[in-house]
Parts: sequence; C-alpha cells; structure tokens
Amino acid sequence: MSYKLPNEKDLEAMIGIVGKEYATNNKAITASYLAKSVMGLEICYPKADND
Amino acid sequence: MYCTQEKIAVSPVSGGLSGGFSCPTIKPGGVLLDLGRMKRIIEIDEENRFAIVEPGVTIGELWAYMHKNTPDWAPPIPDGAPPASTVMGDAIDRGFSLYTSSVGPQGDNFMCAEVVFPNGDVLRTGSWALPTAKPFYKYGLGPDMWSLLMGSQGTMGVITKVAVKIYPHPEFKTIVVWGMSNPYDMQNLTLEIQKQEFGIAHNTVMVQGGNYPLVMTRWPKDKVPRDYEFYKELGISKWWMNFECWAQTQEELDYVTNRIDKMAKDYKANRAKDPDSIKPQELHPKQIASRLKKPNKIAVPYGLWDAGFLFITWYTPWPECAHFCEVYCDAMEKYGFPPTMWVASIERGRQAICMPIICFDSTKTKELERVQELNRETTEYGLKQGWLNYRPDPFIHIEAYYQSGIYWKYLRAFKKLVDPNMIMHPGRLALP
Repeated sequence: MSYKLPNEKDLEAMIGIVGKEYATNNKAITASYLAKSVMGLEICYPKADND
Repeated sequence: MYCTQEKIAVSPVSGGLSGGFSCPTIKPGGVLLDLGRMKRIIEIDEENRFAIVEPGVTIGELWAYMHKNTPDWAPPIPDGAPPASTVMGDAIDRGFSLYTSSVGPQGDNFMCAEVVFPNGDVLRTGSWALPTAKPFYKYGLGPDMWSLLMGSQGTMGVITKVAVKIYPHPEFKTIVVWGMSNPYDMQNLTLEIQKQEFGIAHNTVMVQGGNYPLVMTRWPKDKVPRDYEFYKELGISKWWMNFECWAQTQEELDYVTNRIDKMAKDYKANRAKDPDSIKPQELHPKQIASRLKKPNKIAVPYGLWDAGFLFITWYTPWPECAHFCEVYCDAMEKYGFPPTMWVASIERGRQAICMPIICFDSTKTKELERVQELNRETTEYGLKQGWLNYRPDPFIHIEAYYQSGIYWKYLRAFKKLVDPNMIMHPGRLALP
C-alpha cells in the first residue's frame, strides 16, 4: 500500500479548509507530538533565539 | 475527504498518551489529526446516567467538572492513566476503569458515538442513529456498529462525540488488601469473591493486584534494594489483591469488608495452596487515601526505574491469569527485565486484564530489541493458550490474525467500506 506524502500544495489546501492556525508542517511541532505521547509534554511553537 | 481523494495517510490523536502501541505514526509521514481542541462537555444527564463529551475532553477535566457540578455522580475514568488522557481514547482502547471490575469492560461503558468516516459520512451509533433519540441504548437500530469501532485505534474513522455511562459516587469507600505468596492463591481467592456476582462483587468496583516488583520498580533501580527480603520486612507480600470497595452507607461498607475478610479466612483455612502466606495487609490511612484518589498518576513512576516502560497487556479468562503471571514473569526475568505484573478483574472475574510492565532503558536500541524478542516469544505462547492481546503491536501480533483469517477478512471488508483508500492510521491492526 503506497501513500502520497503531503506537500506544500496539500498544506495550502488544508489551511483553506481549517484556517492557518490549525494546519502546519512545522517539523518541531510534529516531533513534539512524539514527546507528548511519551512524556506528556505540551506542544507549542518554538521561539527563535532573537525573540 | 481531501486526504481520501489525495490518498494521504491520516492518524487521529486525542490525548496522544496511549502507554502501549497506539501512539501516532510520525514517519514516513501523513496528516496527524489532533482532536485535542475538541473539548466540550456537552451534557451530563443524571437521570439517564450518561455524559456526552468530545474527543479532546480529558479524564481529569471530566472528573473535575463532575466533582464540582454533579458530585453524586462520577465517570468511569481509567485508573493509572494520566489525567491528561482522554475519555474517548480510553473508550476505543477499551481500557480499565474504576468501575470495570464491577460493571464490565470499559468498552461497555460507552453507549453511543458520532463518527466521521473518510468517505465523508457522519454516522451516529446505537439509539443515537435515530435523530430524535437520546444516547440511552447502545444497541439501537438493528446490528450494533459501535463495536466495530471499539479497539479500532483510529483505523476506521474519526470519533467526534461519545456518550459515556456515569455512576454513583458514594461517600463510603475503602481498600481491603489480602496478601499471599503466589499468583494461584491470588487468582483463586479473588475468583471466589468475584463469583458471588451480586452484592459484594458489585461493591468491589476495582479489584486489582500484582507482585512486589510493582513496588520496587516505582523507584530508580540504583536507589532501591532488589532482594525480596527488604520488601518482606516492610510487610509486603510477594503477591496481593486490592479490593476497592464503594458503598452507599457505612453499614453497607462494613458488611462488604467483613464479608471479604470472612471469605479470605475461609479460603486460607480450607483451599489455599500456601495457607501460611495468606494474610491481610494493613494499610496506613494515607495509603488508603492515596489509592482512593482519582484520577491518579500511579503508572507514571515506572519510567523512573530505567528511563522507559511499556505495558504489554493481555486478556485471559480469570482462572488462567495465574498461569499467565507465572509464564510472563519467568520470561521477563529470562530477558533481564524485572518481573513486574499487574492484574485486574473485569466484570466480576469473568476476564483478567494482565499487564506485564516492562521497565527498560528506552535510549538503548539493544534494549528495545530485547523487548521485541520478549514480546514475540510470549505472544507465540499466549496465542497458543487462547489469550488475547489487548493493544496489538502490528509487527508482532499480526500472528493473531494468522489464526483468525476469516475474522480479519471481514474486518478488512468493513474498513474498505468506510475507508476505501485505506488512509486511516495505516500500519495499525494490520489494516492494511
């Protein structure tokens, strides 16, 4: 069984459906779901050093 | 529907805290659908005794809400799962809850659901299928479809509402514990009490026990003695069973605790395998209060032992749980893990939920390989005995489907019906 990996066009389509606050391809957030599932850590956008 | 059309994999997640194998897939990639913001507690109906919640409602939130607003009633939240785990997640995982020993498997505590299938259909199950009906009856219109979603681990569709039974939350509660030297006396004494079916079997809302490594592995392994003699000095039996008793009056509670003690003494005198080892375990009031507190975080400290832990859970008929404990503890020791075993009664001893807790160093690949080897070996044995794995690992427990080909064929056909492009949580349950 093969699947399509979602690309930028798919992300835009999903943002069109749910709004930009609710769809992201941010790698840090994606990875943090794993941290949550293992350690119960909550998810938030990472801050840049100069923020 | 967009993902169905584009054939993009979708993994739904509510709390994301499954302690076993149903955590979301991160790689190779797809859409991780976070339901955590769907947080409405829609209705608490005290007369019909159900609560309707969305998938992001956590057990801590529902417990706190009902404690404040409907204090005479409580939801069947899991014992041991973190407060941040969700009510819906526990439903479709068919977990163990604080009423399970009395009223039946956690899946039975859920009446009706609303589910969105990848083909775009929104289905309501049970009595809810009728637009004018309350979610008061699980089996509703003809054959029951909710059960096809139970245990589905997100492979069929996205559940957007569930109706869960609520139960009285009486003031009079306590814990009775009996200790013994071996799992057979634990099994047989408990069965005698649970087989009463009425009365005390219903008052014992949670009946759960295990062995002394349950105490040991709640601490870092270099900080506590590993020899049983140390725990013996503390008055901890090698094996024990907790009976959490709830009653509407003090008189009723006294009757229940006295009856359990009387039955235990009778068992000890007449039928025990090791009579001298059977004794009541005196608990400090703080220990009782700690065990009665809900929701609790009882499972969390096992990660302290060696950086990681895994529940590998099985269902067995209750009269076979001691055999399971014996075999699995031996296997854990063979693979170098402490033989930590937790066992609970479901539906008054009709089933046992047996949960070996594998404490291992999750930062070391070799340790993970040892866990997989242990899992593979014990799975082969368990399936031959007719025991069921509760939360299958797709790589190992596929063997169960090899023995149940026709069942798998029809399960797959149902999935094809609601998820024609097989996009939902691929890799889980060997579907596909």
